[in-house]
Amino acid sequence: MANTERINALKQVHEAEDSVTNTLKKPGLTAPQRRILDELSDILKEIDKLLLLNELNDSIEELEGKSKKLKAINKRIKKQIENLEEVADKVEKAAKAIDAIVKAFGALG
Amino acid sequence: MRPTKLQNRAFIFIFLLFPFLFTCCAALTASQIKEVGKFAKASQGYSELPGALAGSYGVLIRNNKLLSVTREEFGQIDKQGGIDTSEANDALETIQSAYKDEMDFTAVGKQMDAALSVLQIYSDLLTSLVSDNFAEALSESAEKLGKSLDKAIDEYNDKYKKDAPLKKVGGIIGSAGGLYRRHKQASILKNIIKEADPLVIGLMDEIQIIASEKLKPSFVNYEDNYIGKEFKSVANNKKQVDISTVVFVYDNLYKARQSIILADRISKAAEHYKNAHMDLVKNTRTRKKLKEAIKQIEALSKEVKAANEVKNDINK
Repeated sequence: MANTERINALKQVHEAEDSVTNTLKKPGLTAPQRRILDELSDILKEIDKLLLLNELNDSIEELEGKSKKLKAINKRIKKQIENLEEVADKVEKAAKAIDAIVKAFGALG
Repeated sequence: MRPTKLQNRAFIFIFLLFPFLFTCCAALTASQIKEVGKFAKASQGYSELPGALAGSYGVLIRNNKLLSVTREEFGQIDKQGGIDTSEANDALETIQSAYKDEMDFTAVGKQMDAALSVLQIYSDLLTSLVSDNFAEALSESAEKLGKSLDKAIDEYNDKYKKDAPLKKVGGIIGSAGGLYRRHKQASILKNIIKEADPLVIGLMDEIQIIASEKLKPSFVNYEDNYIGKEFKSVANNKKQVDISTVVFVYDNLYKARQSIILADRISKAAEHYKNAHMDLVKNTRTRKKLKEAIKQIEALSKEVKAANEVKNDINK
């Protein structure tokens, strides 16, 4: 069921709950009538809960899908950061080369 | 042909200059990097808010079920003249199902936390990318590099410049390695912000739907049709209510109203999150000095802080 349809269903259950609550506010109801309305209210709440849980679970699927993609970007970036070590290594090698040149000149000087 | 002393000195000079060449063409300015750091800090503590909202609903419906147990009358005499145990049995079932309700929503909240933990990772990554110490190994390499060059200068001075030795510059090389690294960091930073933007927008849109369209209407519905309705059923059936019931109802009404505020704040913060990130992308497209702070980042910071205050109030 599409998101909007579920949200509409949830809205309709809320309206039914409103109707039960408003009926219960009225005076003159007998105890058995109140009992039936209470039971009806309990059932509506169970449906309400199930609809909401389904809605939220759908959202979790959506969130997980998007999160997965963002995680992939994060992973790639972390790899790039690791690659920076190579740059530092290369610069270090250049420094060593200079060191060697200086040593060679020192020996000749 | 052997290099002359002058060529040797020129080599060292070019080597020293090398990192500064990167500085002049760095991908982002200090003010741009600062704004990224501010965004990362502002967005901290946002990812767990939607999960907390779902958890709060679980506690509220649990409490409503527990209250509903007290509307019943127990130990009535049945048709055979014995004690009718059905109400007590039903009551226990209701208490057990209240536990399940709470657990169901707690689980949903945890799943949301897990799905949104990526936002925390993203924020941590941005923080490390604007930091000077994001890779210990790199710092060590730079340090080694500096020491190596200082040693070379020492030897050079010893041989050729005993009277007027060249100044040791290992420290500069160390930080120069850092400057090069900084250039790379800034470049990565610029790319990740741009690439992550559509996903950040997608996640924030979904969070807004959860907070405003899914959970908020349920919290609004709660006051009248759950706790309000249940309180009246108990009062009408029992003919009187004790203070603990009144306080219990009040606490849940308060929690429901605070949850509505939290839902609004989460949604508003999601809007600021999206806008702040979009502004970051816009302001890091080209290297430029930002004259003023990005307003959406400040708004995000305020909203996340306010939302966390409401969350803490609900959980106290």
